[in-house]
Amino acid sequence: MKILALAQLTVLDAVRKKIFIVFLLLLASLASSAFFLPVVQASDRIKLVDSISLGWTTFFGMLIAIFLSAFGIPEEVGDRRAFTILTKPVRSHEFVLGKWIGYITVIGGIVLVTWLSTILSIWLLHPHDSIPKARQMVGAQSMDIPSLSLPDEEDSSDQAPQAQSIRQTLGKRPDLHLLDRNHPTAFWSFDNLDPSTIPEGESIGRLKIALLKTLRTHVEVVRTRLRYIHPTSGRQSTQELEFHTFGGQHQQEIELLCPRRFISNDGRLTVALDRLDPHFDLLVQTKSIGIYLSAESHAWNLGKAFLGSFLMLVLIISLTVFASTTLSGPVSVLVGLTGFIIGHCVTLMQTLARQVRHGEMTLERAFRQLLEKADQGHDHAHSSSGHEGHDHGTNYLADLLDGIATWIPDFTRFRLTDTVTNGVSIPAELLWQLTGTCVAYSAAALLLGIFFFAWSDVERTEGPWWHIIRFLRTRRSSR
Amino acid sequence: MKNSDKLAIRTQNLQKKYRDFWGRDKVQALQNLSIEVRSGEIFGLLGPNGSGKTTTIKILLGLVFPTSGQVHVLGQSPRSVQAKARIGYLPEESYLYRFLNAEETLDFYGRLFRIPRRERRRRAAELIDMVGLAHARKQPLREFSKGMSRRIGLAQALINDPELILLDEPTSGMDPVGTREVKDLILRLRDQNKTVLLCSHLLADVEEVCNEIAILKTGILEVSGPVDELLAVRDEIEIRLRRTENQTNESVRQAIESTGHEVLEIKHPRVSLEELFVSIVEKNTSEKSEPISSENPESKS
Repeated sequence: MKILALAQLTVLDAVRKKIFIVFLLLLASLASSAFFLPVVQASDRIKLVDSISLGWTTFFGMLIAIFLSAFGIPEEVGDRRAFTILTKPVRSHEFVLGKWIGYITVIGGIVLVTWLSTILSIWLLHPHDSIPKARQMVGAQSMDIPSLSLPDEEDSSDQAPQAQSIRQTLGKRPDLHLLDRNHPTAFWSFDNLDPSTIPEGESIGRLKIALLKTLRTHVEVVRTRLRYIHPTSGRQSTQELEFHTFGGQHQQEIELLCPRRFISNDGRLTVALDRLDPHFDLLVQTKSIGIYLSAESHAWNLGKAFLGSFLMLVLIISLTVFASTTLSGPVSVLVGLTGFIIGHCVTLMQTLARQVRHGEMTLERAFRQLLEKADQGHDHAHSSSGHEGHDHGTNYLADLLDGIATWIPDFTRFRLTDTVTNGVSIPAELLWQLTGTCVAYSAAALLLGIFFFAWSDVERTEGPWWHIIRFLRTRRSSR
Repeated sequence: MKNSDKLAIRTQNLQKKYRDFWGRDKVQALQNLSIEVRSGEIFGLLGPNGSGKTTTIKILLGLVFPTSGQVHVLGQSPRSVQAKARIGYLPEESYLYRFLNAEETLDFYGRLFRIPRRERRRRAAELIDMVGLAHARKQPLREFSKGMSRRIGLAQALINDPELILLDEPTSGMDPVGTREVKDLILRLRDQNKTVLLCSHLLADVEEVCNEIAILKTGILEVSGPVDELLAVRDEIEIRLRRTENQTNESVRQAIESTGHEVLEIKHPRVSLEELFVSIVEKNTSEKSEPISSENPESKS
């Protein structure tokens, strides 16, 4: 009851702030801007609306979450409104939890309203039946790339520099495989497919491959072939693929046009991909091919993506509330923003740590790349090349990067915009994983915050920091 | 044991040092403060600015931790929620949520004591009437004058029907009528056997309502004890007579002087300016049959 009373008060306090209304209006205007952009197809407009709504909700939600939670407790203590609460029979954890629940209610409300207004907008602008459904996707159980012994058909000295760079990266990415002249075909095996849930007469799945130019030859069209193989009878159906390309490396996505009869009665299917063009290798993974299962409504799938964003914002709130129990408002804002940025660089840090360990990266370059990539907001750094040697700091740097990447949750996993705009259903397991991550990290941050808040007095005249400072001073004087 | 023998507040050798960012001692707010406040007593804590009054109150409420020394409030640690459930506190300024109205404010604080909804509403209505804010019960606090804010602050301090009430400058910003009402309220609380710790700059107020006082200076307890004892002029005696004629006055003077004592002064006693003001305002108010309220909305805090 006390926690709920405090949460209710926090919500009322937040929604009556002018800055909150300004943020909301800005969010609404930016989210609706997608409707005024010129697009050809309705599906493109829907993708655009989804992408912009989710993007701006995450961005503004992050700002609102950080500013609300960073200034909430310090402001109340500073203007002494907290005094009238803390002199009542309210425990420290009730105060902090009440504030936290209030903030996540506010953010939850924003996310909910944006989701509802997005699906309402899509529904109003397009007939309901023209909105594509989100399809669940199941990956292959196994992938096999048999090696062949072929005579040399290319001069290795003629290889393009991009190919060399990718081959170096491949050595450290066991999940990536190359279909080259020695391994021209990959086989994917699926089990436990239920043919009744697989669409007939339309795409049954999706192939995602990267094309890698291996020769310094001008090629405009790259040819490959997909084969659907009935696992029992061995019957095959082929699908020729042509990619128009002008550069050295391309990511491509292709819909799988496989008749349903190639799925055996016991739910098995084999798919093969053949490299046909000697100028290009194909980069594949086990999860390169996914088979669609039953579809679900776009609105619900979009809701899952909004839930992902909400969980990320809850993490940010928890981190900022933890900081605000001990630090001032502006410093807590910095902590929240830093957490947000570092959370988006976890994959990058893991990649950098790997490169540093393999001697491909020096201390200086790693930092430079980290800063550049952080600015761009991207999370991959596969394009490094060349050995520049070790220095003494590299191992420490690699440990540091790995350490941070281990302890900080990867925020990019919470951003599901691409999945939604690609029309792929977000699996429930992923949402459970994200919820688990969110709960675990939030609980840790809140426990620490409550501990610091309870151990310090409201004017920060006594508390853990003073105990630490006194301890350090005692040690220094004893020396 | 009589109720008055019980100690509502007990501090022993209380010390408080404020430090700078690096943990170095900056201000010694309290030095070896030892006070005892008995239950049912109105205790005045006096001192100039920076003497440690507010720090003492914050320590008694568990808001600030003492650097050393012991504190017991209602027999418990000041940080215990059981003790806090029996305490009411009016801070120096009314630090309240300005977007709530008077009823919502009392309802919110009532919820922090887990008071059932019906009881909360009843108490809120009663307290709003008692502090003279019946006409402003739905008005947001941001529209309140300073005096009205003090009144609602006082009401929130009493929402839990506390045993011990700590009032930090309860009459600041109030007009004389409001001040009189607050003092009457404090006296009523004493009649209900509540303990009140009053911290005020207005010495006349303290003198009028307190049984005991303690005077602090730069964090050190300079003097403490019953008001009557501390204020008594030991080498003089005051005799008050009702409706005497000049002749009677003269007879009394001669009678006293015949015993060898010197009569210093014989005169009519004066009412205080506050009593005069209140009697005039209350007379006018009762003639116009208006409710007790008094604050000038123009003088908002």
